[in-house]
Amino acid sequence: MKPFFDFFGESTLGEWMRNSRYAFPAFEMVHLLGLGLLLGSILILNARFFGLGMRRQSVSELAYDFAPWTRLALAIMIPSGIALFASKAPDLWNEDRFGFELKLFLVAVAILFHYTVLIPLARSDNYRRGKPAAAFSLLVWFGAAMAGLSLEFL
Amino acid sequence: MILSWCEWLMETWVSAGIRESIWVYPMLHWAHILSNTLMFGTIIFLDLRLVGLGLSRRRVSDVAEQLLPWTWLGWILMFTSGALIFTSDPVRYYSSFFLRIKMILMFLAGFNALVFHFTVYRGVALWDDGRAPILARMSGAISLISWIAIVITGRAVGYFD
Repeated sequence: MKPFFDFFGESTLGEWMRNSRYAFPAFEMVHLLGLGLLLGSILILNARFFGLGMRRQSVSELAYDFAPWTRLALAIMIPSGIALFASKAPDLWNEDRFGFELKLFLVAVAILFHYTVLIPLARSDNYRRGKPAAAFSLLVWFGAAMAGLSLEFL
Repeated sequence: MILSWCEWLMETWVSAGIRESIWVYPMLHWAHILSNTLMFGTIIFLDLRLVGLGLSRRRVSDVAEQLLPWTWLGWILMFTSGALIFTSDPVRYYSSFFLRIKMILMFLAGFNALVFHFTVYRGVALWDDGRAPILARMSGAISLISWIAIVITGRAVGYFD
Protein backbone atom coordinates (compact mmCIF):
# COMPACT_ATOMS: atom_id res chain seq x y z
CA MET A 1 0.00 0.00 0.00
CA LYS A 2 2.96 2.35 0.50
CA PRO A 3 3.22 3.28 -3.24
CA PHE A 4 -0.53 4.00 -3.22
CA PHE A 5 -0.26 6.41 -0.28
CA ASP A 6 2.88 7.99 -1.80
CA PHE A 7 1.26 8.45 -5.19
CA PHE A 8 -1.61 10.48 -3.75
CA GLY A 9 0.37 12.12 -0.96
CA GLU A 10 3.12 13.40 -3.25
CA SER A 11 0.77 14.44 -6.05
CA THR A 12 0.33 18.08 -7.07
CA LEU A 13 -3.20 17.85 -5.68
CA GLY A 14 -1.99 16.75 -2.25
CA GLU A 15 0.70 19.43 -2.26
CA TRP A 16 -1.83 22.10 -3.20
CA MET A 17 -4.35 20.93 -0.57
CA ARG A 18 -1.74 21.08 2.21
CA ASN A 19 -0.61 24.57 1.18
CA SER A 20 -4.10 26.03 1.30
CA ARG A 21 -5.85 26.94 4.50
CA TYR A 22 -9.31 26.58 3.00
CA ALA A 23 -8.99 23.65 0.59
CA PHE A 24 -9.35 20.89 3.18
CA PRO A 25 -12.41 22.33 4.97
CA ALA A 26 -14.00 23.22 1.61
CA PHE A 27 -13.62 19.68 0.25
CA GLU A 28 -14.81 18.29 3.56
CA MET A 29 -18.02 20.35 3.29
CA VAL A 30 -18.60 19.03 -0.23
CA HIS A 31 -17.86 15.48 0.96
CA LEU A 32 -20.40 15.85 3.81
CA LEU A 33 -23.11 17.20 1.51
CA GLY A 34 -22.47 14.20 -0.76
CA LEU A 35 -22.72 11.91 2.27
CA GLY A 36 -26.17 13.24 3.14
CA LEU A 37 -27.38 12.75 -0.41
CA LEU A 38 -25.77 9.31 -0.73
CA LEU A 39 -26.91 7.77 2.55
CA GLY A 40 -30.31 9.46 2.26
CA SER A 41 -30.98 7.77 -1.08
CA ILE A 42 -29.49 4.45 0.11
CA LEU A 43 -31.50 4.52 3.34
CA ILE A 44 -34.82 5.25 1.62
CA LEU A 45 -34.28 2.43 -0.91
CA ASN A 46 -33.07 -0.15 1.62
CA ALA A 47 -35.71 0.66 4.23
CA ARG A 48 -38.41 -0.10 1.64
CA PHE A 49 -37.34 -3.79 1.60
CA PHE A 50 -38.50 -3.91 5.24
CA GLY A 51 -41.76 -2.11 4.47
CA LEU A 52 -40.54 1.14 6.03
CA GLY A 53 -40.55 4.67 4.67
CA MET A 54 -41.90 5.12 1.14
CA ARG A 55 -44.12 2.04 1.29
CA ARG A 56 -46.75 3.32 -1.16
CA GLN A 57 -44.15 2.75 -3.89
CA SER A 58 -42.66 -0.61 -4.77
CA VAL A 59 -38.94 -1.06 -4.27
CA SER A 60 -38.45 -1.23 -8.07
CA GLU A 61 -40.07 2.19 -8.43
CA LEU A 62 -37.80 3.61 -5.74
CA ALA A 63 -34.73 2.06 -7.41
CA TYR A 64 -35.70 3.97 -10.56
CA ASP A 65 -36.39 7.25 -8.69
CA PHE A 66 -33.26 7.30 -6.57
CA ALA A 67 -30.68 5.84 -9.00
CA PRO A 68 -29.64 9.23 -10.45
CA TRP A 69 -29.23 10.69 -6.92
CA THR A 70 -27.09 7.81 -5.67
CA ARG A 71 -24.96 8.23 -8.80
CA LEU A 72 -24.69 12.00 -8.37
CA ALA A 73 -23.76 11.54 -4.69
CA LEU A 74 -20.96 9.11 -5.67
CA ALA A 75 -19.79 11.55 -8.33
CA ILE A 76 -19.52 14.18 -5.56
CA MET A 77 -18.02 11.97 -2.87
CA ILE A 78 -15.34 10.09 -4.83
CA PRO A 79 -13.44 13.11 -6.27
CA SER A 80 -13.76 15.09 -3.02
CA GLY A 81 -12.68 11.99 -1.09
CA ILE A 82 -9.59 11.62 -3.32
CA ALA A 83 -8.69 15.27 -2.66
CA LEU A 84 -9.09 14.81 1.12
CA PHE A 85 -7.00 11.62 1.00
CA ALA A 86 -4.26 13.25 -1.10
CA SER A 87 -4.02 15.98 1.52
CA LYS A 88 -3.75 13.63 4.48
CA ALA A 89 -2.02 10.60 2.93
CA PRO A 90 1.39 11.12 4.63
CA ASP A 91 -0.22 11.53 8.09
CA LEU A 92 -2.57 8.63 7.51
CA TRP A 93 0.30 6.36 6.48
CA ASN A 94 2.12 7.12 9.72
CA GLU A 95 -0.80 7.24 12.13
CA ASP A 96 -3.91 5.49 10.88
CA ARG A 97 -3.04 3.32 7.88
CA PHE A 98 -5.44 0.59 8.95
CA GLY A 99 -8.35 3.00 9.49
CA PHE A 100 -8.03 4.31 5.96
CA GLU A 101 -7.60 0.86 4.40
CA LEU A 102 -10.68 -0.35 6.25
CA LYS A 103 -12.67 2.62 5.00
CA LEU A 104 -11.53 2.10 1.40
CA PHE A 105 -12.38 -1.61 1.62
CA LEU A 106 -15.87 -0.94 3.04
CA VAL A 107 -16.63 1.70 0.39
CA ALA A 108 -15.54 -0.69 -2.38
CA VAL A 109 -17.68 -3.53 -0.98
CA ALA A 110 -20.67 -1.20 -0.50
CA ILE A 111 -20.55 0.12 -4.09
CA LEU A 112 -20.01 -3.32 -5.63
CA PHE A 113 -22.75 -4.91 -3.53
CA HIS A 114 -25.15 -2.08 -4.30
CA TYR A 115 -24.83 -2.38 -8.07
CA THR A 116 -24.37 -6.16 -8.43
CA VAL A 117 -26.75 -7.50 -5.76
CA LEU A 118 -29.08 -4.90 -4.27
CA ILE A 119 -30.18 -3.05 -7.41
CA PRO A 120 -31.05 -6.29 -9.32
CA LEU A 121 -33.09 -7.48 -6.29
CA ALA A 122 -34.83 -4.09 -6.12
CA ARG A 123 -35.62 -4.04 -9.85
CA SER A 124 -37.25 -7.48 -9.62
CA ASP A 125 -39.13 -6.53 -6.42
CA ASN A 126 -37.59 -9.48 -4.62
CA TYR A 127 -38.49 -8.67 -1.00
CA ARG A 128 -37.66 -12.12 0.38
CA ARG A 129 -34.00 -12.04 -0.65
CA GLY A 130 -33.92 -8.27 -0.54
CA LYS A 131 -34.32 -8.06 3.26
CA PRO A 132 -31.02 -9.73 4.21
CA ALA A 133 -29.30 -7.98 1.31
CA ALA A 134 -30.60 -4.59 2.45
CA ALA A 135 -29.51 -5.28 6.04
CA PHE A 136 -26.02 -6.14 4.83
CA SER A 137 -25.94 -3.12 2.52
CA LEU A 138 -26.91 -0.70 5.32
CA LEU A 139 -24.33 -2.23 7.64
CA VAL A 140 -21.53 -1.79 5.09
CA TRP A 141 -22.55 1.74 4.03
CA PHE A 142 -22.86 3.04 7.59
CA GLY A 143 -19.71 1.14 8.56
CA ALA A 144 -17.88 2.93 5.74
CA ALA A 145 -19.27 6.29 6.91
CA MET A 146 -18.19 5.64 10.50
CA ALA A 147 -14.74 4.48 9.42
CA GLY A 148 -14.46 7.67 7.36
CA LEU A 149 -15.60 9.87 10.24
CA SER A 150 -13.07 8.28 12.58
CA LEU A 151 -10.28 9.44 10.24
CA GLU A 152 -11.47 12.98 10.92
CA PHE A 153 -10.60 12.63 14.61
CA LEU A 154 -6.99 11.77 13.86
CA MET B 1 -27.27 37.52 29.48
CA ILE B 2 -26.84 34.53 27.18
CA LEU B 3 -23.11 34.66 27.82
CA SER B 4 -23.55 34.42 31.60
CA TRP B 5 -25.90 31.50 31.07
CA CYS B 6 -23.20 29.86 28.91
CA GLU B 7 -20.67 30.42 31.70
CA TRP B 8 -23.02 28.80 34.19
CA LEU B 9 -23.63 25.89 31.79
CA MET B 10 -19.90 25.36 31.44
CA GLU B 11 -19.59 24.76 35.19
CA THR B 12 -22.20 21.97 35.22
CA TRP B 13 -21.16 18.33 35.50
CA VAL B 14 -22.69 17.49 32.08
CA SER B 15 -20.47 20.03 30.34
CA ALA B 16 -17.36 18.97 32.23
CA GLY B 17 -18.19 15.31 31.67
CA ILE B 18 -18.39 15.66 27.88
CA ARG B 19 -15.31 17.89 27.76
CA GLU B 20 -13.16 15.57 29.79
CA SER B 21 -14.22 12.27 28.24
CA ILE B 22 -12.01 11.12 25.37
CA TRP B 23 -14.74 9.21 23.54
CA VAL B 24 -18.05 11.01 24.28
CA TYR B 25 -17.07 14.07 22.21
CA PRO B 26 -16.13 12.13 19.02
CA MET B 27 -19.23 9.92 19.51
CA LEU B 28 -21.44 13.02 19.59
CA HIS B 29 -19.92 14.24 16.34
CA TRP B 30 -20.50 10.82 14.75
CA ALA B 31 -24.12 10.85 15.91
CA HIS B 32 -24.56 14.42 14.67
CA ILE B 33 -23.20 13.69 11.19
CA LEU B 34 -24.88 10.29 10.81
CA SER B 35 -28.29 11.61 11.86
CA ASN B 36 -27.79 14.33 9.28
CA THR B 37 -28.15 11.61 6.64
CA LEU B 38 -31.64 10.99 8.08
CA MET B 39 -32.61 14.63 8.18
CA PHE B 40 -30.78 16.31 5.27
CA GLY B 41 -30.89 13.05 3.27
CA THR B 42 -34.69 12.98 3.36
CA ILE B 43 -35.71 16.65 3.28
CA ILE B 44 -33.66 17.33 0.16
CA PHE B 45 -35.75 14.82 -1.79
CA LEU B 46 -38.95 16.68 -0.91
CA ASP B 47 -37.20 19.94 -1.88
CA LEU B 48 -35.95 18.46 -5.16
CA ARG B 49 -39.47 17.21 -5.96
CA LEU B 50 -40.92 20.67 -5.24
CA VAL B 51 -38.30 22.46 -7.31
CA GLY B 52 -38.89 20.01 -10.16
CA LEU B 53 -35.46 18.39 -10.25
CA GLY B 54 -36.28 14.92 -9.01
CA LEU B 55 -38.83 12.19 -8.25
CA SER B 56 -41.05 13.66 -10.94
CA ARG B 57 -43.10 10.44 -11.17
CA ARG B 58 -44.10 10.69 -7.48
CA ARG B 59 -46.88 12.75 -5.99
CA VAL B 60 -45.69 15.61 -3.80
CA SER B 61 -47.94 14.40 -0.97
CA ASP B 62 -46.52 10.85 -1.25
CA VAL B 63 -42.99 12.18 -0.87
CA ALA B 64 -43.92 14.58 1.95
CA GLU B 65 -46.08 12.23 4.02
CA GLN B 66 -43.73 9.28 3.75
CA LEU B 67 -40.42 11.06 4.24
CA LEU B 68 -41.20 13.77 6.79
CA PRO B 69 -41.43 11.35 9.78
CA TRP B 70 -37.80 10.39 8.98
CA THR B 71 -36.83 14.03 8.71
CA TRP B 72 -38.34 14.69 12.15
CA LEU B 73 -36.58 11.70 13.69
CA GLY B 74 -33.33 12.97 12.17
CA TRP B 75 -34.07 16.47 13.50
CA ILE B 76 -34.59 15.18 17.07
CA LEU B 77 -31.30 13.24 16.93
CA MET B 78 -29.49 16.24 15.44
CA PHE B 79 -30.89 18.67 17.99
CA THR B 80 -29.98 16.38 20.91
CA SER B 81 -26.44 15.66 19.73
CA GLY B 82 -25.94 19.29 18.68
CA ALA B 83 -27.15 20.60 22.05
CA LEU B 84 -24.75 18.24 23.84
CA ILE B 85 -21.84 19.34 21.63
CA PHE B 86 -22.73 22.95 22.48
CA THR B 87 -22.87 22.05 26.18
CA SER B 88 -19.31 20.71 26.07
CA ASP B 89 -17.87 24.17 25.41
CA PRO B 90 -20.69 26.76 25.56
CA VAL B 91 -18.58 29.90 25.87
CA ARG B 92 -16.53 29.07 22.78
CA TYR B 93 -19.57 28.05 20.72
CA TYR B 94 -21.50 31.11 21.89
CA SER B 95 -18.86 33.37 20.34
CA SER B 96 -18.60 31.33 17.13
CA PHE B 97 -19.49 33.47 14.14
CA PHE B 98 -20.49 30.50 11.99
CA LEU B 99 -22.71 28.99 14.67
CA ARG B 100 -24.65 32.27 14.81
CA ILE B 101 -25.07 32.23 11.03
CA LYS B 102 -26.12 28.59 11.27
CA MET B 103 -28.77 29.42 13.89
CA ILE B 104 -30.19 32.21 11.71
CA LEU B 105 -30.34 29.79 8.77
CA MET B 106 -32.11 27.20 10.97
CA PHE B 107 -34.78 29.75 11.86
CA LEU B 108 -35.11 30.67 8.19
CA ALA B 109 -35.51 27.00 7.19
CA GLY B 110 -38.01 26.39 10.01
CA PHE B 111 -40.04 29.49 9.20
CA ASN B 112 -40.04 28.58 5.50
CA ALA B 113 -41.29 25.05 6.27
CA LEU B 114 -44.00 26.42 8.55
CA VAL B 115 -45.24 28.90 5.92
CA PHE B 116 -45.16 26.18 3.26
CA HIS B 117 -47.27 23.77 5.32
CA PHE B 118 -49.89 26.28 6.34
CA THR B 119 -50.29 28.01 2.99
CA VAL B 120 -49.47 26.50 -0.40
CA TYR B 121 -49.29 22.85 0.81
CA ARG B 122 -52.94 23.07 1.97
CA GLY B 123 -53.97 23.00 -1.68
CA VAL B 124 -51.56 20.21 -2.66
CA ALA B 125 -54.42 18.11 -4.07
CA LEU B 126 -54.63 20.54 -7.00
CA TRP B 127 -51.01 20.13 -8.10
CA ASP B 128 -50.01 16.83 -6.50
CA ASP B 129 -49.11 15.01 -9.71
CA GLY B 130 -47.43 17.60 -11.82
CA ARG B 131 -45.38 20.72 -11.59
CA ALA B 132 -45.63 22.57 -8.29
CA PRO B 133 -46.89 26.18 -8.30
CA ILE B 134 -44.36 29.00 -8.07
CA LEU B 135 -44.78 29.50 -4.29
CA ALA B 136 -44.12 25.80 -3.63
CA ARG B 137 -41.11 25.82 -5.96
CA MET B 138 -39.73 28.88 -4.18
CA SER B 139 -40.27 27.24 -0.82
CA GLY B 140 -38.42 24.11 -2.02
CA ALA B 141 -35.54 26.23 -3.32
CA ILE B 142 -35.25 28.21 -0.06
CA SER B 143 -35.27 24.98 1.93
CA LEU B 144 -32.66 23.32 -0.31
CA ILE B 145 -30.31 26.30 -0.20
CA SER B 146 -30.68 26.85 3.53
CA TRP B 147 -30.04 23.19 4.41
CA ILE B 148 -26.94 23.09 2.21
CA ALA B 149 -25.76 26.30 3.88
CA ILE B 150 -26.51 24.82 7.32
CA VAL B 151 -24.29 21.80 6.60
CA ILE B 152 -21.52 24.10 5.33
CA THR B 153 -21.68 26.54 8.26
CA GLY B 154 -21.95 23.60 10.68
CA ARG B 155 -18.65 22.22 9.41
CA ALA B 156 -17.13 25.72 9.45
CA VAL B 157 -17.85 25.98 13.21
CA GLY B 158 -15.24 23.28 13.75
CA TYR B 159 -12.59 25.06 11.69
CA PHE B 160 -12.89 28.81 12.13
CA ASP B 161 -13.74 31.20 14.94
